[in-house]
Amino acid sequence: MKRWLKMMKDLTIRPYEKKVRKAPKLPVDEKWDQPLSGQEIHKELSKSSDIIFREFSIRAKKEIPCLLGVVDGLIDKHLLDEYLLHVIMIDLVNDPDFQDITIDNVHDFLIKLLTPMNEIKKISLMGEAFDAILSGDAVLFIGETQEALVIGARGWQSRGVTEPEAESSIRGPKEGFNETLRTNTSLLRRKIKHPSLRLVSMKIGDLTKTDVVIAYVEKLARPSVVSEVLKRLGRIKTDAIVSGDILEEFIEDFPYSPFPQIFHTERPDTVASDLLEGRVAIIVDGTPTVLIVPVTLTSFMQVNEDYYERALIVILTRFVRYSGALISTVAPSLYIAVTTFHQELLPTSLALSIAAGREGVPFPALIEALVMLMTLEILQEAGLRLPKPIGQTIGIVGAIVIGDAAVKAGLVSPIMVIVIGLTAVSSYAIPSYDLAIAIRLMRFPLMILAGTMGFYGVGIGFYAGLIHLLNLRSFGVPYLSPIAPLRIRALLQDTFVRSPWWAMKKRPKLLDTDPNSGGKR
Amino acid sequence: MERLSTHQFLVLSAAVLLGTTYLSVGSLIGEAGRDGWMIIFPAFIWAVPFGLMILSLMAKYPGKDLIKISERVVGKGLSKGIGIIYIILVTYYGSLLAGLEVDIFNRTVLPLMPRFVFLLGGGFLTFYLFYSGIEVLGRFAEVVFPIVTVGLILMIIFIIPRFEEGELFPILANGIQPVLSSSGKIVHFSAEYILFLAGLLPFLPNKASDIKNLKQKLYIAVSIVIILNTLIVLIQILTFGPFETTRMSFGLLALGKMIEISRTLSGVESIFNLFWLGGSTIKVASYFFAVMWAMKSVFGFKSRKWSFLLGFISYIIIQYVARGLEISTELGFVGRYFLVPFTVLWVLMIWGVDKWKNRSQNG
Repeated sequence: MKRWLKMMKDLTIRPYEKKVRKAPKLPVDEKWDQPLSGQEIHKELSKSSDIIFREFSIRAKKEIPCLLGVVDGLIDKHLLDEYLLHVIMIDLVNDPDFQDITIDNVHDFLIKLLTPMNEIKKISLMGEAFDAILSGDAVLFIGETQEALVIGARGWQSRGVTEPEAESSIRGPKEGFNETLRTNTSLLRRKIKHPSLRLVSMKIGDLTKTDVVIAYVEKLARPSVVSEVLKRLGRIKTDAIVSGDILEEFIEDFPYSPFPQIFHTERPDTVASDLLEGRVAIIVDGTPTVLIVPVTLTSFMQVNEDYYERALIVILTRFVRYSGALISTVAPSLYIAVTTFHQELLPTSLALSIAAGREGVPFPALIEALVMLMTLEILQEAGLRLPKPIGQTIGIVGAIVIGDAAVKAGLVSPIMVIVIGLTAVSSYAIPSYDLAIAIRLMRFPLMILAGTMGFYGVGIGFYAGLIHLLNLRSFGVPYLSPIAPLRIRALLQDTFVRSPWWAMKKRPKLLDTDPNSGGKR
Repeated sequence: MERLSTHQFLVLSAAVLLGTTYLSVGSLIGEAGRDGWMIIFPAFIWAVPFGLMILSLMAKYPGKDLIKISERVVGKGLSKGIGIIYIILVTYYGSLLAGLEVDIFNRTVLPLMPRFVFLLGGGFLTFYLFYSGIEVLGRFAEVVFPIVTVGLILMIIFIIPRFEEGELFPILANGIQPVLSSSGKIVHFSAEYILFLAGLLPFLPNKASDIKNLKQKLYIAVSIVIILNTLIVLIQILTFGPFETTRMSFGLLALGKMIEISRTLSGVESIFNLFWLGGSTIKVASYFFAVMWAMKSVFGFKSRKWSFLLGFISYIIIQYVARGLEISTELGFVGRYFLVPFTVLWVLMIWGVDKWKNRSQNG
């Protein structure tokens, strides 16, 4: 019984300050803090075929043996040959001070000689050498000394800066993040050329040692939010972070809420805008999406193009999006409630036409709607995982063939097909996939409440959902802000409508940044 | 410690004061007849002086509710007695009010649904709000009160084609006496709010500038409620005439049934009930909070487990004490003969004794 309880606790309660998954204990871990030994490193790493060690010597007054360790595929071979090996083996010999080189001064001599290499530093611990080699740097061990040189010569194949597929836009920049951390930070730095943009690095994951960068703009981001982000990231104790999206579940405030509490984007312009609003970005090596905190519900209804279009147009597009979200949440449940409990709401002619459509349908409206929505969910899931052309075919087959056949067979009423179709189309108006999924999830309990208690049930479900949303916070910021707690300026400036750029004289007080700091985005 | 902003205080005050009074206030115009819309102002404005007295006491005793303030002003024994009466009165009255909401939904929207379903639904929302805390109740009011207000305004707009202007005139044909007499019968609506405010004090901002702001917000909240309720009574008189308005228990629901929107929706009563559900949830939850705060102040019950006992007692009252029209009668009786005298005596006594003590201390 105790074991079962412990297992249930493990599966349901998120631990803090406790290891989530332990990495296997290896003999090499014990050597991590020991003084450096080139031979030890060679012995440990040469078991892997992609790690290359090259031995050579510097023939000064006394011969100095050298050992160079690199990972094939992570190193820029051109840089290695031209600016490291060529310099050490050929240029060094022609140096006037060549004969003065001894085992004691060779490190300083090489640092001076290798100045053209942009990164070079001395290390003295085993762990530092392991980290450097496995991260793609070249490490030069000299003789039996307990010091080595780390030479930055990283270079590997990576995807170029392309337009993000999930967030394409008609207006605005077309560049998107890729899987390389430094490319991503440079894209950000190109947008905000100011020293107040801070990038703080850390490593997470005992085995993966994933590089994570926390970006924020000093004086705009609330210090308490920045320190909370660093604290939450710091207490993640797991063996592997293979994608930035995994971090989300570790650091979000309410892990059991269906609503997203962290925003993802692949667009540098969106991240830059959010940083300038006082938010904090988390960039993870190997992931093209950047995490943004804190967020509010309304931020999931905004897209980057809202800020490139004219304000009047944005009012219309946002109205369409919010209407879509509302329809996709409540349309099926309202239909069920009206046809099952509140027929008096419909004028006689409309009630008769609905009744005629439902004639011969053997199921109650609730079952009919549940079956149809379940079919829609299956079609969506199937279309998402299949290759694009087949996915499209599945969508057409599902929507037209199955829908039409179901109506003709008298299993489903035509008006139900319209309601479900409207629900599906409306849900595509929600710009955030995470929010759309949450709304999909909310739809089912609302439908069951509508089918059992009519509008009263819808009301109970709606208000329970509202209380849940009011309870949520993202890194201390209430999730329904600026609606509740009310922030008039933010509400009028950039929530359901967007003010013209010239009217955004002050930052919204949404995140409690200094509202007088001027400008927005 | 949870805190409400001054704006949340405004909205929560308006929401609690308005509660679901708009549903039944039409039937209480009594002898005022066609001047019934005038009874709202004298009945609700009463909340302002008593609210101001409580807020001025709060400035002097920050972080304490009125029971704790009573303890400082009139001593432990008397304040305990006041606290116990407060708990009994508010529990009973709040439970009756919850019973009235159950009755409204049961009688109008879903007559075949068993009562316990409504009890379960309302109870769930109340408990959820209680466990979420007063801050969430404040934010809930920030979202729901505008929805309720929009619902009332829409109803007023949609019913305009049904107005019969002749019903309103002549104004004050029978003098002011019937208006004042009828307004006395609904004055307990203000007392309900004052009792909630008495418990809310520790959660309000208490800097000098905030208290000035809170006093302004109190005026605004009362004004909003007066305007809305006056309009609601006015449209009922204009549509049904004064006699029918008095006869119907829930005139507003009858109005909802009469609305038709461009031959697309008719009898929108059920839809409007969604809005009224929000309003009633705030009101019932506010009583739940008030009793729990009082239990903490009087008996030191800090654990939230006591909320289940309170829930059980409320359930017994709702299920077995009064049903149907009896609830309205009982509410009126308790309100007029217990709630109002208790509120008036308590607030005036504490405020007066405190002033007197102050004066004697200052020589």
